[in-house]
Amino acid sequence: MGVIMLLYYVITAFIAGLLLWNFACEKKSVNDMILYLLVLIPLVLRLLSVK
Amino acid sequence: MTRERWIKSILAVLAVLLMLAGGLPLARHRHAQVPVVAGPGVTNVIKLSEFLPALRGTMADTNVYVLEGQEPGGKVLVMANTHANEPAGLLAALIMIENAVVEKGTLYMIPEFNASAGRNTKPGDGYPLYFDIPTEWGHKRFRMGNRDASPLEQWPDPDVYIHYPDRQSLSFNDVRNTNRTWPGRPDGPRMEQVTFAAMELMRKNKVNIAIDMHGAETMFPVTNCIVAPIKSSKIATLVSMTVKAMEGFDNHVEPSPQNFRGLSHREIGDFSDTLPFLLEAPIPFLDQPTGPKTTQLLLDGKDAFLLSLSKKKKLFVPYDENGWPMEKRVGQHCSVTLEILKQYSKKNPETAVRVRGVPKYADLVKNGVGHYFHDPSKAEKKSVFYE
Amino acid sequence: MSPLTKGVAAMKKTLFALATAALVIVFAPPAGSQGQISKAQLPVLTISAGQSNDANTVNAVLEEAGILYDYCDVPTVEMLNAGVGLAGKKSAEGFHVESYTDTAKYPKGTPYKTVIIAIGASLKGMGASGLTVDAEEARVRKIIDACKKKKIFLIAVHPGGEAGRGPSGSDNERMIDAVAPFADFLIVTKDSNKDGRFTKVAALTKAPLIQVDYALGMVDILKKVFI
Repeated sequence: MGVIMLLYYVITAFIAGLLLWNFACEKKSVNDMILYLLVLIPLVLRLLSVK
Repeated sequence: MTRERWIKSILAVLAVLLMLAGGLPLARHRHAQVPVVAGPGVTNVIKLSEFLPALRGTMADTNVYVLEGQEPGGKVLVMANTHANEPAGLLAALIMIENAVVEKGTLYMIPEFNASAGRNTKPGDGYPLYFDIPTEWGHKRFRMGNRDASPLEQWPDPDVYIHYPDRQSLSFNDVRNTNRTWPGRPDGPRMEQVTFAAMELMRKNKVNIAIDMHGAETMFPVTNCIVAPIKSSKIATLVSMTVKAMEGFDNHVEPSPQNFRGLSHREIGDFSDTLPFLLEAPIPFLDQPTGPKTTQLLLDGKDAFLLSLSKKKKLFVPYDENGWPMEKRVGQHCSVTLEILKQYSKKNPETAVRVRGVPKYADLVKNGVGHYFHDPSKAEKKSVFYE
Repeated sequence: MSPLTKGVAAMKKTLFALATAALVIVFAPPAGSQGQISKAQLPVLTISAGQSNDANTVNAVLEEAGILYDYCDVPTVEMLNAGVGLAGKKSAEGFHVESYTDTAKYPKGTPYKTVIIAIGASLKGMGASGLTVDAEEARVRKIIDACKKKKIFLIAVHPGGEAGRGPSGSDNERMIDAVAPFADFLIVTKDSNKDGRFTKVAALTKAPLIQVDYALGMVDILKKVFI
């Protein structure tokens, strides 16, 4: 794995973390909770080397 | 637990279930193995990484089946699944591996040239994950791949792919397309490493002929043909005329454009002494205006929309209610490959290549593709390899 | 001679004339008939009208027939006039020259006796040679004029089948228009002549027309042409 690819995985993990944090902190909007989770799915699949 | 926590827990569980429902089949597909029973002609199975160690241990590394004849002669490299959503070439290559016996010369067979693409999917376009070929001993299951390598092997894509060494600007995703990354380089992106390794195989072994088997849409003019550069064009022309006259299927020769870089039929010839030939057989499955992309469409090529377009003369192949079954496509690839060897050997008797045991077009149309696959459960363990 | 004898003699002459006429009508081949293989002489130059791969088909057929030839995809009139060896020109990008003529029999510079034109348009091929359809048509017409002036035997070949045809005014049809009416001998595949286009041309120009099932069938034809 090259340096740039590794950096992209780091960025993906960081954004996944942000989404999880936003999901955890979200108190009111169920729509936003769903949105965070949906956006998280492909990032998790990429981090787990599934897709 | 508060209402908010309940909602979050339920949503989280649903998200995990959705990830599992979507992700598990993809993970299974990525790691699914296709058994290959090495036939009596296979003398060795090596890895492409022998020609470039950087590929070792990656999903881009792939098997190279060597079929060496008793009598020394010419050398031929046959590649399939450069585009892993064009499976007729894969099936033809596997039939050759399982049945061919080389009498003179050597065949190097790479059935999964873009091994990463063979483990990639295109679910957003409704592609099936697998397709089955009926055989005399049951169904043989194959992975359905995608045109390009998986981003899991090579990521990110550039905005524009600058071809090496020509610096021609190509589409961003062509950096993962092993029919755009020839001749490759050892320190380039992964797919350039794959094509570089293949170039090294050809250069080190002084390969005389390279055959790259593909499929193309019926609405695309470059189908049912051999694409060849000038140095291969005479043999390609003779092959095309002969199969048309003697085996009864349509074929023509398309010249390899000098200004379109990265393709095997261009760069193999420009960067080595090998004569390249790229074979195209029709694959209705890939045409845009079809019905649902089912395994049935992949296997028999029958589609009502294409039939309607055919009546309006919008297709580049003769098309009717019988579709374009896999037997015909695989048969075309086998027959054209054999004819290339024959015509080359006629003109170059010292580097002739003689092969037997490979079925031709008429045999495949009559017996079906599955007839030529052997049952891995009944084969000796040391003869079974996995793709 | 008695009137009876004169009458019998006249009747015999008439009968003889009628019989001869009948024999001529039955056995003499009508002009432009199919199945008649013309004879041509070496040395031969093959060229393309439209820059499709059909020129390679013709060359491959000649090789299978054991006939040595010179080839250029886009020759000039000067190259044609230079004869065998094509003035020593070498292939370059978009310009292809091959010279296989037996120079022991036909030394360099020997005027060509026959030109075979492979008809088939390819935008890819024309583009590779830096030509537009208009430029290609003009080039082909110049070559044909030069051949006619030098009384070079012109054989027009169309092996491309239905794929090498098109609606009226299309690139393929323009190449046929530029070449076929001026050919001394036409060889086409049956698929190329499905609509009888070449039959009509041959009937007008009285040039013999041969139809083959497949391009490979031209091997035997050309063997007989160049005996």
